[in-house]
Amino acid sequence: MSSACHESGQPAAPLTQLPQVALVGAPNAGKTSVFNALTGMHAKTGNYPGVTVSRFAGTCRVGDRRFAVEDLPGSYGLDPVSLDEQVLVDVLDGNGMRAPDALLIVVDATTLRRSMGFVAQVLARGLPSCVVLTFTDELLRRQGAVDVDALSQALGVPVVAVVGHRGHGIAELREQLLDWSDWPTPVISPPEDPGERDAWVESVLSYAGYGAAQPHGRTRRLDAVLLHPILGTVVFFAVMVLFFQTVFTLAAPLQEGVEAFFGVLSGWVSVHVTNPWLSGLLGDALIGGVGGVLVFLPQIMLLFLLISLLEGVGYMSRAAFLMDRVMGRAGLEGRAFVALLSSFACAIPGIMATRTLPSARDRIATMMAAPLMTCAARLPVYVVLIGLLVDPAATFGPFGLQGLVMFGLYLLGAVSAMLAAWAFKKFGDRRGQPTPFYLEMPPYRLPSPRAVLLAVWGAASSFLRKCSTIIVATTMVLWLLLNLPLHSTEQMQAAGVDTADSAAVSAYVVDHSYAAGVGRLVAPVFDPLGFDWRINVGVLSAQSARETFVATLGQVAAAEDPEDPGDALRGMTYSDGPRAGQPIFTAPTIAALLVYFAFALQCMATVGVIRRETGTWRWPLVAFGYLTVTAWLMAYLARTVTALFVG
Amino acid sequence: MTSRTFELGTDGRPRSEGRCGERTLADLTPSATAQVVSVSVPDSPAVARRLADLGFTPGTEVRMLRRAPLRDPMIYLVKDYEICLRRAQASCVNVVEVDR
Amino acid sequence: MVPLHPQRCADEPDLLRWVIPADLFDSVGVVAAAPPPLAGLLADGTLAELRLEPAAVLTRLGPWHSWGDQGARVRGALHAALEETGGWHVVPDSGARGGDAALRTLAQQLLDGPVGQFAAAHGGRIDLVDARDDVVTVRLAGACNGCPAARSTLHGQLERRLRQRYPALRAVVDHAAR
Repeated sequence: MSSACHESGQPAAPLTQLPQVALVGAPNAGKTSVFNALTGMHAKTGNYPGVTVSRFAGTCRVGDRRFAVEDLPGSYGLDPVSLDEQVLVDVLDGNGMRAPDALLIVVDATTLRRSMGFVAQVLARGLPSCVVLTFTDELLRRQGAVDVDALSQALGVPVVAVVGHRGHGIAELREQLLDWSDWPTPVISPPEDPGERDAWVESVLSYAGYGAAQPHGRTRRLDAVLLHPILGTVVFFAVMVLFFQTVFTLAAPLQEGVEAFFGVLSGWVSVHVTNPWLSGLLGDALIGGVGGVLVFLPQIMLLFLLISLLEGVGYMSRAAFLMDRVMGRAGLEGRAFVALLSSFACAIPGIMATRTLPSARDRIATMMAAPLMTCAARLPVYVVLIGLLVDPAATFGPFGLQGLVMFGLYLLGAVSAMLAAWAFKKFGDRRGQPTPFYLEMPPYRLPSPRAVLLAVWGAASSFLRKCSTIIVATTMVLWLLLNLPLHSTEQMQAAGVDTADSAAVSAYVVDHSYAAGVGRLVAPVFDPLGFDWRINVGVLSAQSARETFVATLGQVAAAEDPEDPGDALRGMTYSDGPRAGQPIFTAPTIAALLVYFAFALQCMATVGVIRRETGTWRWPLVAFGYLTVTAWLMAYLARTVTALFVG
Repeated sequence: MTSRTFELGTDGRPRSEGRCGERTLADLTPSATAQVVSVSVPDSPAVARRLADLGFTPGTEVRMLRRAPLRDPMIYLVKDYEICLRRAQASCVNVVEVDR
Repeated sequence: MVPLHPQRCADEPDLLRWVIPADLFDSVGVVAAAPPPLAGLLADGTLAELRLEPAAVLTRLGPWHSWGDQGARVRGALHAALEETGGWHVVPDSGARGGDAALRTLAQQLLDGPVGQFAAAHGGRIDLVDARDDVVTVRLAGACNGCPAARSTLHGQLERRLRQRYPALRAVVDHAAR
């Protein structure tokens, strides 16, 4: 393409002075591929002010003129039934923001008969409009027909046929954009009365020689299997197992690779930076923090690769159809299943996957529930704690008891996630009607590699740009808390620490850090749970990422091998207070810890990504607050119940 | 709040009372074909209009294609495309069955 | 309800062509009497003229009115009037055949519009020679003339579109081939 749309390095007019062109259309009309074809890789995602609805904007350059292009939320009509559609109507009305100067109405040619009602409603707004007809190639393949020029004559507005994934018609659409201020408008706006509107649609389509597409044979045959009550369910679970395996297992070596790389990097720093404190700050805090961001990338990219493939092929709607009844119990819809399933691997990609949900309320409810799903980071913590709690040889029937406890924790996570979603949905739906559920079943199509790659790229870059600062900053702060104030070698030797033993040194540093001070300060809060200040420090340090609990607790317990602190922990006793001398890791305390970890939102990256996806601090704070309080209450309950059984 | 039903009848104008004894989309069995008579949604004119926007306008032919494993939701063929509705929404669309 | 939609007429902003199903009327000419709602619009001067053409009703707006204000009213009246086609009284056009004039108008519109643009885009021109007895005669000029591919494409386009609007069309013939 010669007149590629991109931002160049040359100074340009501010975005607000450019003509604003907005894309409107139904959710499956191909709006996004038209948007991508116009704006290229330079789309910016953000949020509409005050609402958790994502805003996609970019610029398109035609010759020496530039346009601000915005992809508005998809909808089937202009009477809003959800928050996202309210945003669409507010934008069109210029309510609280600048109204677009011109509209591109994106319409799937294979669903033209249904879409004309939407076209009528949009044209009635009176803005300069151009109809962009997508999937005309598919219409022809399926023995349908439409005369684009006649359609344009009948509608009274320009019509451009575009095959988004091939780029056909995009050049013509760009040319058309140049004339936006001269676009003809309908001499009489289309009727609002439903009967008259139907008559109008009928007349326009017959004038345009519209022939409906024949049913899609491949789709019929595939659906006979994929939506079959039994076969379809089997295939669905097989797909989901594969999906989960890919996100969970395939990402693991990549994540290890990232971790190993940053391990080498921080090792290099500790060798070459002689000042131990500076080397710790650079090596552990900064490089560790950046590594802590990048370690999520493989999962996010894999997840979005899979989601956009499944979405592009059309299977996502089928999966949602199959799971809708089950998810309906939690007040959610079928599409939320994928987001919650991904959260088993990690809540970050899971929360980002809520973008596929069309209703803002569903997105919020799913985001609030996602952190409860047992993510990979909880696994090492569970392994260590269950190892302390349950004898490896113990069995219950044919099953090992350790495995059963682990399974129970996964179940606890899933059930409480569903309950949380249900509660938030119910709470959010207090006012007004619940959003009605409807879901288009598009024919199976081959997704374009470009669209898939753009989705992966978009997810990865927005995560890096928006979340990296939050994660790196919290890692740094926690590191500082755990390592300040500074202790000189003399001070430590005076305190009787063997300065040659790095484990003893780090134990001393942590013991006397600000974090330890905080740990002692919050002791009254965690005392009922049986946590002593050392566990508190572990819990606090786990606040940036759960898996650090194992290492931190190891440091605190001064274990020889901080990565396997089990033995040292078993021998740990309360150092002060009324329980001094008693072992800390009794069954009730461990149960309380396990349950605390199952519920608490100890992941600053999750907080960051909720902030980024909702565009406000309100929801991350709500999530953090409710999960911490629930964690404490449930841990207390677990401790009490376990104490009753153990005695 | 009083309970009102918003209904779009064959003449396209809202009617105040619903007709009883009619079948709805939710009553159709797979591969049955029916014609939409009216759309009536208790308390929500926006949802009634949305169902019309989705293609369920009076006089339109609808074919029930399949049900999900747990019998809800259901997929319908209307105006040349396939759409999935939950029972709650499907039962708002009054139809008469058409013999084929 | 009878399917209908309005279209502009080139160069005549006060004239509007309402496309209706081709089989609704078989006469062509000035409408002398129409069912009440439409007759009312003629009487109060909202509409200055009402004509039937093949597959269309032509309405000319009265002075000091605009389609933006009156369009929806005119549409409503048309819908009502088209429900009772028996109430329409048409004075057939004088001359040999009323249909010929309508066919000429339709063909000229297409040549001024999409078909003409298509020809121009390919470096050619297409002129209307005659419209008589449901047969349209055209002359191809410019790059189109002599290019068999362009000739058949243009010919096919014009004929197909014309037949949509004027089902009685018998043929489109090329002047040179006669």
